[in-house]
Amino acid sequence: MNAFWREYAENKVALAAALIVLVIVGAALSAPWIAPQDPYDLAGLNLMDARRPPGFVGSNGYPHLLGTDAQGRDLFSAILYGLRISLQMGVAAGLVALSIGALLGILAAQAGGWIETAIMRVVDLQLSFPAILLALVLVAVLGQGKSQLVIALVAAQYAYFARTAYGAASAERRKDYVEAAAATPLGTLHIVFRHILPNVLPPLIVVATVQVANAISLEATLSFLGLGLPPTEPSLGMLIANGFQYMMSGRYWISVYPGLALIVLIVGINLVGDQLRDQTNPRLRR
Amino acid sequence: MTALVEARALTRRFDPRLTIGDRIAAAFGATVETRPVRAVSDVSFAIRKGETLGLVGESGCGKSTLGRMVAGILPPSGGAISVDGQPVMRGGHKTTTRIQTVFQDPFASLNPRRRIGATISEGPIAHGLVTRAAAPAFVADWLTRVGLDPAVATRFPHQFSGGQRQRVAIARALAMRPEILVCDEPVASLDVSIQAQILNLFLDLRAALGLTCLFISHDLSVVRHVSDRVAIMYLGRIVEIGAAARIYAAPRHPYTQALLDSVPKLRLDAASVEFRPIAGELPSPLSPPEGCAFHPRCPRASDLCRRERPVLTAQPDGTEVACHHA
Amino acid sequence: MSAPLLEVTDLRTHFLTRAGVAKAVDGVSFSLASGEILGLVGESGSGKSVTGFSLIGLVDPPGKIVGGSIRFAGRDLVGLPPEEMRALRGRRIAMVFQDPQATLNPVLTIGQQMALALQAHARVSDRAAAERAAAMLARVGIPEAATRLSNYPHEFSGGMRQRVAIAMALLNGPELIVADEPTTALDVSIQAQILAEMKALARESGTALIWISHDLATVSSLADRVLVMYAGRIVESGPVGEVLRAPRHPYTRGLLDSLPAMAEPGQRLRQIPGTAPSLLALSPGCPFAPRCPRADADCDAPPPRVEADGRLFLCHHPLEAAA
Repeated sequence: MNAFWREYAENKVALAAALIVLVIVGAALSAPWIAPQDPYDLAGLNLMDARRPPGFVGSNGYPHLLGTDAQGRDLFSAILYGLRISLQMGVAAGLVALSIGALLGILAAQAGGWIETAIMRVVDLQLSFPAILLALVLVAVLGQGKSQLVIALVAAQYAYFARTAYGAASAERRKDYVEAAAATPLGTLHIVFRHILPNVLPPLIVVATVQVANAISLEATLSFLGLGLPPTEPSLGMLIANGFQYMMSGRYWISVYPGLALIVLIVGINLVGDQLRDQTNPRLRR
Repeated sequence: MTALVEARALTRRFDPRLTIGDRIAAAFGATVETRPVRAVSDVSFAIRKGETLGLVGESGCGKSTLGRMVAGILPPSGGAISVDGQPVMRGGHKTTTRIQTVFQDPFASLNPRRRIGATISEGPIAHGLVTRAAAPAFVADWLTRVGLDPAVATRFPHQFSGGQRQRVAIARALAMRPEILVCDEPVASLDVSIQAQILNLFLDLRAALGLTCLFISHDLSVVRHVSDRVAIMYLGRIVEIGAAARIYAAPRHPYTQALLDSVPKLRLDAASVEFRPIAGELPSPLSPPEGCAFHPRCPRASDLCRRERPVLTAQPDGTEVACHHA
Repeated sequence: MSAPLLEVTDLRTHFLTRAGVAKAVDGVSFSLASGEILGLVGESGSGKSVTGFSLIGLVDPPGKIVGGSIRFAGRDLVGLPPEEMRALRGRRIAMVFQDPQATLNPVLTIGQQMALALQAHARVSDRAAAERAAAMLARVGIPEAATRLSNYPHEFSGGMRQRVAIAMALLNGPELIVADEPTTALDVSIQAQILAEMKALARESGTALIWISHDLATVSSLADRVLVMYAGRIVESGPVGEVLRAPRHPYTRGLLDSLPAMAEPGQRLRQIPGTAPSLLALSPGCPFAPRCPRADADCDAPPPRVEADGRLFLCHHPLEAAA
């Protein structure tokens, strides 16, 4: 494992990306302690402070590093809390999609026959269909709320995991060590959970990192369109949407800073995922 | 002596896998290749208790497929394989632990993400041969018996050399306390000096445990060294089977003769060497020749050979040969 | 005898890896005359393949020739500009690999590839090229050679594909062929055909052949001389019959005794204990000493190089010469 991280650290860009992602996640997790203001506490807001540029010292006596929004909220605090929600949604959706996708993919590879055909056709069908469209329809039908959103995101993404798990499991189950286990004989469930799953997991984790980033941007898109979470739980997407109408009037910061936070987070996660993929891909290894 | 392992009319077909496109094309009357490949056809043999049967043949002759059926990995399409009269597989699943297998490639046959101690003990734990609490001592004992340091139980396969991994694979198979060991090219991927070490380990353990073995290899000298009897396969069928000493000294089937002639022998004299290769090429198993499968390459082939397939027939010296002109 | 075709002196090819310097080839010297077949024998990690790749200038990074010389027809190949090496390779020096796929392009027909190989080194018309190619395919035993020129590599069986690769190597009439385990992946019956053809070709056309193999039996029936390599060095060399009949180096003896053919069926083989040393941490002494039954304190020092009657071995305590 040590050698793995040493090799990872040799790619300076990936190392920087990992550090940035860690800082962002750390900041988001510790938001209640480091944010100067609780953006959900309506009593703490003052409309006199609304739409002030970065650096403005408001009525609470501290400077608003990234300015304030239309409700007089400190944007830095709002971004920290927004990141929390975005990350929560992304990670929750990623993990659930990973579990469901891995289960379906391995089941298809292991069962074969019509089960394999049925599962993989549905998965292929879904992969040929824009994820955002499916998520939009589901959110429209299910309504607003955290769990509804997670369901929509999972439905839009599990197919990527199923494809990857199916490919990896099909390759693994033909290998000699799986045959050796079957020839012992060991039970099918034992073989799936002790032999196939541990060897299928690495590529799935790589897909998971990238899919968490995709889930975050998908959630941001839905929230930007007003279909994501209720306004009481503003994620980054909603922050961007809130500031959008002020872009043309020169109050760029209300949209731009949440947008930057979103971009840095997604690019960072993707760079980490790319490096993990390169390192776990045997074809790229010497 | 009675037979411990018995194969009766074993056959294995591989059906071509039709894609949806193929099926649609077939539905519209297009010709789609649907002929199954017969990897093994109508093979019968018996292995007596304590005996080692060597299985020889060139690539594509079906020896590995036959070995996988005996090992209970691949269900036969026809015929049956039994141990003491009990079938090895039921409903596509292996039902006995009395047969265990050592595979060719020790880099592929060990789970890369499992410590070798767990690899050795998982079968015995699952089948109640050892308790989880007693497993570490059990593993240490087996590692010692295959010539490895018991301290390596916590290592992963990639930390071992090829020869050491093959020792682990042998320990995994024997820890199940089998009576019968199927060895599928167990030394083919090893260096000469390591191959000798593994063959010695095999000979020692076979004697100590009284194992009955099916030893599959393309290497005629290795098979000669470990086998009591040998079977020679060509295009999915056994063409000659009998005592190793007799067959190597006086092969009767023209294919066996040609095969033994074409092996480069260690020359210690300076005499010039004549190579006597077998004429022609191995036919495709998709369309085996009519009659005797070897007739297109056989110097003794007659009209009878082109028409009629010879069956295995007992010879005066106790070997069995499938040839019209043996 | 005139000057040899190939003279390798103190060749050193090292791999500069993360974990340290692996001395894959470390001080290898030998020479080869036209028409001679040299067997290069060793186990994995002995440096036999790296020696072959060094000769044709195809050592990939992190490998690097760090010392010595390779004089081929009077010219030193070490340090030769890549363009000149490329011009030499395929025309005067050819290589046959274990996997013919390494030489054959899957998207071109055999005829196209052979014409390209010919036209890369000489002005040849398409028609003349096709004729030469067909003649060469026929020579390596491919039936209906002229019609098979329009086939793609995947339309040939494994043995036939290796023959095509050999025909490609022979196309420009090279003076030296380096063959790295060319028959290891093939069945014995096909191996015998290829061995017979290679031997005839070397005899008839005066091509020098370096046959790299782990298989003593193959080398014994093909080669004139043999080099036995261990841990990047030549430990013994000489005429193949003499070396195998009465080896002087304990490693050569151990290798022979490891063969099942050298023992009674069912009896234990006289194995060499232990495994080959890591090329990253070689001591200055004899690399075989830890596995050698004759080793003693002397073997901590570099072994002496003993040369007599066309034979060579590096050992403090060699086996007796044959009576």
